[in-house]
Amino acid sequence: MKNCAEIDRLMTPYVDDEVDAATRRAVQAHLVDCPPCRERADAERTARRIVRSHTSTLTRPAPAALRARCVCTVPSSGTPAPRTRLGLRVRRWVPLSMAATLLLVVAGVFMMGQQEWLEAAFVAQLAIDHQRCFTELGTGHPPLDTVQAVARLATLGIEVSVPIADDERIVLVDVRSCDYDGGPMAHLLYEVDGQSFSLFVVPKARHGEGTFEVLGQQERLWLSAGEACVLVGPQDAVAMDEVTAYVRGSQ
Amino acid sequence: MLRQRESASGSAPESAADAGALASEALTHIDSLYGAAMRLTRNPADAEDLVQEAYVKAFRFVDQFKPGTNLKAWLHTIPRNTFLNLRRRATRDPVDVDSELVERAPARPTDGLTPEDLLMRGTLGTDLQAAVDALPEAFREAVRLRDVEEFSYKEIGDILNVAAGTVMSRISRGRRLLYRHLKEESRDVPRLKVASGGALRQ
Repeated sequence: MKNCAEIDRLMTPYVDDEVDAATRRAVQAHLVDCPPCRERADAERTARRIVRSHTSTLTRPAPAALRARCVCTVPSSGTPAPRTRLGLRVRRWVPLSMAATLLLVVAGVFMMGQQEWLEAAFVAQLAIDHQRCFTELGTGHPPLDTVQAVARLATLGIEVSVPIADDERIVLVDVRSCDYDGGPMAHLLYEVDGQSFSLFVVPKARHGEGTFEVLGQQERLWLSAGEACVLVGPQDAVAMDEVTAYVRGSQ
Repeated sequence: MLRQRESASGSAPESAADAGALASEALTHIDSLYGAAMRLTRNPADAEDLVQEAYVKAFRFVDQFKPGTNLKAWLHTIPRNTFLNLRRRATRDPVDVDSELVERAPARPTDGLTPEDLLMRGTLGTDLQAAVDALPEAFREAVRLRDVEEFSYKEIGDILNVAAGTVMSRISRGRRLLYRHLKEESRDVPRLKVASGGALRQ
């Protein structure tokens, strides 16, 4: 005969019918003789039945726009967008049925190497970090100077080079630490004429160079003295050229 | 195709083509991930961002997925961990889902309505979501993963990063607490309020 504490541990698998026949008989024998445990079993079984018979009211399908956004995150070579060497094409609206789109995406993937896949997924992550950090930051922040930025990065445990502030239109508004495969990377947030730019600096990274268009952003990757640098900004080649020149000019 | 590869090699995806096959299967679980993200964030815009980020991370760290294990369960760990990290960063005050109070949420004697009365109530659907939402987070997650998503105890343990025994105890307490909420709701008494730390007060 099992006691109430032992029965309590078996209650969920018993109610879920995931116990063997001998255990089930032992629990049943106890429940016959123990009204409090029987009541608890009834309560648990009833709640289980209620939830399982109402799963449709407890779930909601993902909106179509979200599906389209997530399909865009699948690293894909496919037909390159202008100025894109490899990587993700931007598909904000999906003109085909989902099934057809998935086929296209997967067909594109067969043309890629593993390294290209990882690179394309990496730049997608940066596009999301860019958008999220700017959203978290909000507006109306005072500018940071280079010394403050270096000091703040040092307290975050990151030693990377920071562009020297010598162009008053290009305003550094924050520096942060974002995750790079478990380690920290520097995230410098700039505002230029009301547009947002991020410079990510990854110490000791192995990455290719190039231009990507991903999730509504343009990204430029280059290597500088053992650091991988990525500028993320609007899909505006002139503005991206200007900020890239500013950053690279001071490196 | 996926299954074939699993049994043939038993190792992480070796090529982008493998990863691509995994990606298209991953996308079939979007409704389930969105549901989980909605319950975490309680806000459609944040839930959508969380799901999109989860896919980006899944595709980036696709080699961490162990073939032969449940892809859907692995995917569920990603938005959850991202959400908990963001919340920790935002509040600087980690929420302790294993707090004593949560584990010891009392089971009160049940009287009045019978289980059959509860099941027969026609308006249950609307109250049910509120009653589930009112559960402490640790219980709500366990009950949802078991009864809505139908994961095994082991898979739920992997998602929540706790032992299977803890999973069962959370499901058990969660279900019983839910039963009590629904009974109280139907008797029109004030519902339990859930404090931010997961503690219960009445």
